[in-house]
Amino acid sequence: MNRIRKTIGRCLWILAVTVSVFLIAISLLPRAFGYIPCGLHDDSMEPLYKKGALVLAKPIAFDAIQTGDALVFTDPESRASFTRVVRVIWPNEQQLVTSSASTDEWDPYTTAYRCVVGRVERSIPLLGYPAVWAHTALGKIIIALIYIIWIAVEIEAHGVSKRRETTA
Amino acid sequence: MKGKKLLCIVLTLAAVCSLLLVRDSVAWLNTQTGTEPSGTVKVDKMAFTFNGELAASLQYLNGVEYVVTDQNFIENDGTLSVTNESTIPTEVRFHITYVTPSYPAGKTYKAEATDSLSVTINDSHWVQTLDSNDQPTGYFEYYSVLPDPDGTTPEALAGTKGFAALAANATATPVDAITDIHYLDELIVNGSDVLSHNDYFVGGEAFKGEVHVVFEAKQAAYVDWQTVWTWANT
Repeated sequence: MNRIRKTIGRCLWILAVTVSVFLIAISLLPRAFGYIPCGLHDDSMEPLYKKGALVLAKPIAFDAIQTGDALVFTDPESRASFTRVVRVIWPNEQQLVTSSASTDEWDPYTTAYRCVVGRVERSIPLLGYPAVWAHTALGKIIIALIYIIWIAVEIEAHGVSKRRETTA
Repeated sequence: MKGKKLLCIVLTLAAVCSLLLVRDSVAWLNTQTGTEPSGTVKVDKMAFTFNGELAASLQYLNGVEYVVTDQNFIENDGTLSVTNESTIPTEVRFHITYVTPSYPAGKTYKAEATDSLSVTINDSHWVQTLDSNDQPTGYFEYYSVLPDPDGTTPEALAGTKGFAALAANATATPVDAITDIHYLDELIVNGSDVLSHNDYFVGGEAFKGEVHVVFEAKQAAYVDWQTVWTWANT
């Protein structure tokens, strides 16, 4: 019985470490190469990029932006991010007319260049899902619960081993 | 064992923190840094004003949205026009795409017999270009002077393409581009019945008429076209 428990424990440990290293890699490794990673929350960029894809953006100067470029923007107030395709560039005001990738119908308002985080250079399907999920309320609750339960189990296990030592 | 547990805790916490550093991109946000795209577009020294609207709403009957046969997509039976205010010579063209049950992804209007759309274009100034095989491209370019097939000089044969630079203190005048866009009768169906002219379509398999008119412009000396305005009825 002990052996089975130890084996399960070892497997869980390996799984947890492997998954953690993988998640750290996909989140931080792009930054080492100058990319800003962003997970796509919805399908507004299809067929260009699928929902759940991890897009990697690089900062871009205003003069280098061309119509058809997919850019990642950040709202300066809420700090929320969104990804759109550039349809028209207004250089005099540094404003960008954008739309989703599936239609050329323009968004109701332009966005200023200063909101641009970068131009999407690469995309990796599916790898954006962990980050998207972690940002959701449910994701945060589940992560917190996992740690709470883990801590509770560790405290209980510590208490049991202390009692065994005392008895011995 | 303790070391392993500590490593596991640290790694999983690091993974969670690094995931939260990855941005979560939503569909679209109004950042309050922009403006409503207006009818006047300025791109470097190019400037145009676009007038007219494609009807935003279609007819409803019994809760079903439908396209009326012969319905002009230009609001109030008006005109789509462009006014050049550029201070440099420019070239302007437009193309029209529309949706049909056979072409749900859209089809380009080319003024051919196979088109399901009827478009009245101001042919005093707008000419459809042909490709290398003399086939229509769907792009209608502006000519201030139309090409003259009976002309005797190269200039007359070629016509004058594009807008001249607007002189200082000159008044810019609008140029009509399109005065009518409507689907042709045969397109409106109710099951297998093809409705005749002026009949309304009720229930059954409907499609939503979608028309997009896209204007592009470029400085006359350059080759790269740039989209400067889009009309859409949806």
